Amino acid sequence: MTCRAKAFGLAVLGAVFWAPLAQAVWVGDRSAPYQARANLNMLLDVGAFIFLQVGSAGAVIDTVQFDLTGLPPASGPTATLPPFGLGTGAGVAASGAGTLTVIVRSNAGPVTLSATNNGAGAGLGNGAGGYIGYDQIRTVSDNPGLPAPVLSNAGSTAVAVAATAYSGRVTQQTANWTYSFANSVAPAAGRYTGQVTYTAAAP
Amino acid sequence: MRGFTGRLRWSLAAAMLLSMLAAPGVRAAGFAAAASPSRFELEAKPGDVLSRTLDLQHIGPEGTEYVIRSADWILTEEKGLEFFDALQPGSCRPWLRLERRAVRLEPRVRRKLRFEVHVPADAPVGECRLAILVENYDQRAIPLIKDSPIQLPLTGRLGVIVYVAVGGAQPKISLVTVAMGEDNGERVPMVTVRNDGNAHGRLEGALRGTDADGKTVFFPVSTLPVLPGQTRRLPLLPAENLTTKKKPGLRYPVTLSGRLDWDNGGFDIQAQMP
Repeated sequence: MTCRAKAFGLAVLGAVFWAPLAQAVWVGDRSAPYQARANLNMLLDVGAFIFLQVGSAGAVIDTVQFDLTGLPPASGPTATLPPFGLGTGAGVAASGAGTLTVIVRSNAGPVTLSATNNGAGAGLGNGAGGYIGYDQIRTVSDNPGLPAPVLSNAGSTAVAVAATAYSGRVTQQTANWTYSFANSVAPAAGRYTGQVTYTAAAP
Repeated sequence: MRGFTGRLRWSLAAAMLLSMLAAPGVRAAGFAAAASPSRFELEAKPGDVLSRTLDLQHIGPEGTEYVIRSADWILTEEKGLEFFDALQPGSCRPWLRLERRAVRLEPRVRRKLRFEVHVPADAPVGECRLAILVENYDQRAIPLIKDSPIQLPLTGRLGVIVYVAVGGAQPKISLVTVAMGEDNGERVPMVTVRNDGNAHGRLEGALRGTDADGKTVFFPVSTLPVLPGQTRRLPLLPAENLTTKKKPGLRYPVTLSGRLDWDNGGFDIQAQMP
């Protein structure tokens, strides 16, 4: 606790002990316009909190899906064409809902957000030894104050969520994160799954 | 037709039974949770038992199960806050006793989670740091979607940081430099400090800044913690206008003056930022 925080704490403590003694201070008068005044000491105790919402907050976990079947073929010399559009480097948008709403709120100073995954360093797996690196999953945020952590097999570097008020103490940010598949590799056939967990903290 | 309907019913029943077995007692839902307080900064003597409560609240429309567990963590300037599931060398997580490992939260109902920190009698002077993670899912409960080549469930968790200064552990913060630097892509004054103590510390306060046009703006310092042994740059972000909530336009050079406090002291600063 800093010197200022201690001084503030003592002031608040003083106010708490003083309050019962100062509760009946009434001032009135007996002539028009008959004004009366009462003093009221106030003490507000605002608890520190942190809140995170990822996705719709509905009954099921939001899942982003990519369908790599039926991709348009790439243009260029036929001999070098990636078959079926796989690995062309042309990004693939998510099939279905590919945008998630993320909300971060706190009143406890700087907030960080990081991403981890369950790939044990290998990536999204197909259950048969095939993997797709998490760096193939790209995320774009529409709010620079709440950037999306860049995914990788090793997790992510934490991003700082920009504070919005009270000189860096209060944060209220909402962003829409849009996911796409980079498609810069042609993975082995199969159905790939993984999971990403975003962690918010106010250290 | 009746036979087919009957088989269909049995198939559905079997599927439901299998899904229940696959996710015993846990139902996954979107993550929308709040925790209060957001961190604990405690002091203890060797042999003490500290008891505290953490308030949890689920903001989603349906009740859901949350999983509670601990993790180690580190905060570096390069990678930010990192959590570790595996017990790290010197970890004090074995001191933590959680009231429960899972808690069901109904929508917008506050629920208390109690925990204790049992400081061993022979604990050395220093700081115990751990995190209580609040997660809303069990991996077994994530439903896989049929016929999707790539599927990626996305969820969240809260990391509630716990500091326990044991045996009078204290920070010892010294000022290194005040210079311009970059914070989130923005060029701002930064103060660099070093912590030679054995507990984390924070700076607090604001410097008064006067820009080239004579405009006065206050620069509060970031309250990020400085861990023992770390040297850390902390941004001094110009305070927003209280009425418009907008950041002030500044013309450099800016002259900074004032005092920044830390837990057991402070620094008087006078510097010009080019």
